[in-house]
Amino acid sequence: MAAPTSFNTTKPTVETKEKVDYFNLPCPIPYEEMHREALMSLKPEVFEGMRFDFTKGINQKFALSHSVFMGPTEIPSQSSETIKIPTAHYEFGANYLDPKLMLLGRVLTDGRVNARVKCDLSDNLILKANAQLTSEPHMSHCMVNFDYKGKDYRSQFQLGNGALFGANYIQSVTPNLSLGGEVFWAGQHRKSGVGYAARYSTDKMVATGQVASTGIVALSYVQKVSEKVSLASDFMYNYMSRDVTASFGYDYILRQCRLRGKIDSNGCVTSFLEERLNMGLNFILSAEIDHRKKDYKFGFGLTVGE
Amino acid sequence: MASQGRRVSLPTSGEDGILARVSNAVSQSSIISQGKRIASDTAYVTKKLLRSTGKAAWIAGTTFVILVVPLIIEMDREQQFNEMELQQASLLGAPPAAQQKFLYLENPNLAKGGAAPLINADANANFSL
Repeated sequence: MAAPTSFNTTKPTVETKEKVDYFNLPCPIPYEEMHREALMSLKPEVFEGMRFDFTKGINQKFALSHSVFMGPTEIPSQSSETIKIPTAHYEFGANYLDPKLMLLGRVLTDGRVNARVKCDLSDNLILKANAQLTSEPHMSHCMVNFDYKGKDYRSQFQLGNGALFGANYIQSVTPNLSLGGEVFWAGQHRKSGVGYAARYSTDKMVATGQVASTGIVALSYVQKVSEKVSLASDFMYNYMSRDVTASFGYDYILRQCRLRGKIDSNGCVTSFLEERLNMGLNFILSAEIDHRKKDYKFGFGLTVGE
Repeated sequence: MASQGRRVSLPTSGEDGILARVSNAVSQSSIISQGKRIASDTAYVTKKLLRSTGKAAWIAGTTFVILVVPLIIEMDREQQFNEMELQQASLLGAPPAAQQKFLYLENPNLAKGGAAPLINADANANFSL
């Protein structure tokens, strides 16, 4: 609960500048996307190996995508050493994008199917569904979300397989500050929890804090240095496993490329470069060095289309 | 016969000659043993120090290569790109661009700020997806 109080202290400075109309507050960002700026800068999709993605639009709303991935993938194991086996797969996807309805489907050669639906039931109510089906038993997931967007609040109700129920609510308190809370109940694992979050954002910076009864404390701060550069840092503390991680990263969005770099307290250095070679042709370089585990991951890829 | 002779001769040479006694005294003195210990200790410490400095240098170097080198290269490319565009604009003889170039010569920060919105609209359009 330290996070919300720390943000409350910054509130009066805003109020003194101009009279705030508390009946006309902006709509907050969805609860689950609370940390999105920090995540965008600090969590690029690092990969190891080669990937090739191709997206072809058939018409305005319909697009097909093909992607090939080759490279080692890690297998979870008990020992501290990571075990990697070389894999290769092809993924076929079909996207239907319409302002009211979005359908995404992905099929992998190893039999995994991923489907996502986003449908606007009315102006305020949005239905989101996400399903992952695999050939292995007990590994398939399904999740349905109902989002209700109010004038200065958002609420969401989640239903998942394994008797998972969740609900969250976020409310704008001042033009810059929004506070939210969530509850969830996982029937299969007999677990339940509550969480609180606060987000303070101006056009120059975003600060978020989140606590949950599962023992997680997450704080993040993103500073926009200029139009092109933003610096981000985050802090994560897990009370149950006594895990503390802090990381710091930069995010450069230049005309020809986007470059993201990160260093964290576990001795892990990551950088991710997306270079635009031509219109609709992007070259990706990804590097991750884990000094402590002596785990080095390098990858390159090509994205065509979009 | 030869072995017998040696057996006889050995004790005689073992009898404390001046040289042997001096060398014994030197080799068994506490200063020498202390010196030896210090020398081996320093050697050990230097070895450790060198090894850990090497490790630190390795970590710093690889981190630098991963985090900073791409950044420098990309910043340089961006700057080249900007300069090229300014040059082209001045060659085409568009008066506002020419003005901008003069501004750039006088105050690089001003010109950069002026050119920024164009750049970012473009970059965001590409990567926000």
